[in-house]
Amino acid sequence: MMALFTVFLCRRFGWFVSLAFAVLLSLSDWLVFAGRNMYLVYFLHLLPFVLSFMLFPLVVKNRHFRFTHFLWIIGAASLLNALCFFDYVSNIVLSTAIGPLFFGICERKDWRQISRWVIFTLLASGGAVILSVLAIGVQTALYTGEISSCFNHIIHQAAFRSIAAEQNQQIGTPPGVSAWMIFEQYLTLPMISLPFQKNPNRYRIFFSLFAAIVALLPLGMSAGLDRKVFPRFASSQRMLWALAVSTAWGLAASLSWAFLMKGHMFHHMHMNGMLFYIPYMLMIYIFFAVVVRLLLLQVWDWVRNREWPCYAMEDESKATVISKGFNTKKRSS
Amino acid sequence: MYENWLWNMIFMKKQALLLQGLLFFAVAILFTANFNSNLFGLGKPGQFEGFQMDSEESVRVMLQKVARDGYWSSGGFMMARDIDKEPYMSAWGLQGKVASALYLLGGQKSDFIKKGHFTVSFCLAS
Repeated sequence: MMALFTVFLCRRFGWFVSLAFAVLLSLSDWLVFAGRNMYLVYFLHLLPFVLSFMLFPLVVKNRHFRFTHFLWIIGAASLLNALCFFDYVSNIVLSTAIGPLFFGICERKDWRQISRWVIFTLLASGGAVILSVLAIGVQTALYTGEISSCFNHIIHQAAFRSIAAEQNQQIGTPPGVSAWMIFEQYLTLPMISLPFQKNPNRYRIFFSLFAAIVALLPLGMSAGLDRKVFPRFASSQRMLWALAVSTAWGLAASLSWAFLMKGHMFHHMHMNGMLFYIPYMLMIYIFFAVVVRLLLLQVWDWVRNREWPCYAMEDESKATVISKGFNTKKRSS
Repeated sequence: MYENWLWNMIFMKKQALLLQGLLFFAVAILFTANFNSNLFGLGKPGQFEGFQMDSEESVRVMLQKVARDGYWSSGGFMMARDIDKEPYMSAWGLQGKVASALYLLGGQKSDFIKKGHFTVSFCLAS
């Protein structure tokens, strides 16, 4: 699934982004730890997000592939996952909206249409989760022979795991421990390890770094970068904003479980690092690689034209001429 | 002129498809090896080998129960790490149902878990 997704990224964003994504994914700690587990079946966690991102361009551009087809596929993928595993279900449902968000913004669709796409996608995925809960109810009733107790276990688990529960010390949170206090601990979890080091205290990149990147990248592109000096970024502005919004949505999706199910987060710090890959870390990898690619191309433009931004900024009129030159070349190419 | 342009386009398209096909196979092999055996040695020593093996025990015990008591003996639920206790009812257990069906159909071989790890890694990777 991730190899197919890498090829999709190659077609959409180019070779550099797909190769950078493959390298970053290979070094992702929690993804590698969970990848082979027969209970977690991690590929099903990522399936709705990957399908949403890969199939939504067909909805936008292909008349034969309708939005209802997309909804059926997203619903089926969400159902498949929910029949296996309920953990991180809020991440998985919210991650399905990334395709409509990203491609809606990229293709300059009306915000009302994008909202409609997002809402219906979330409903399709959420509906599939409700179906899986009903399936558990039916199975429990058949096994125990009691219809009255068919949802007891799942309601009990959800109630004590959730943000409000502090009564049950075994699966809930101790009194006085807030969701923020728990989340603070997760910021220090390593997300990437650098390979081939014999020292057990090897170099690691922590979650806090990526959380900072998602805040800084859109700010940097909107405030710090001058469009005249950085025409490569100006020409990709729409796509960058679509990526920024999708990545921020991805962060919200990842944090949804972290804050809704604080009992689960409190007791499962040894495994919950993997929830940040559904889908936030994957989005930040793409975003990061796209920005690095544009920066490299921009530097290449400066080197090729022997016009560095510091010289261009000396004279406003000269800067304008240079930027027009860049733009003309880009259009003609 | 037109034919040359068309030929170039087809050729380029074929070349691009070939390169993307190569990318797919290279990345699929790399990811499968990495997910299945931690190719780059990520994490602390032993972290990969022991990661959530206690959770996976619910699938392993379900295989044992299915082999001993029949396919529907646990009502379709996975087992909570003990073959003679109540099953774990927080999920429908599709992965356990599929794994135990394959286990029975495949003749209950001893390397089933190893092959299962490879299959799950391959699904995520490819």
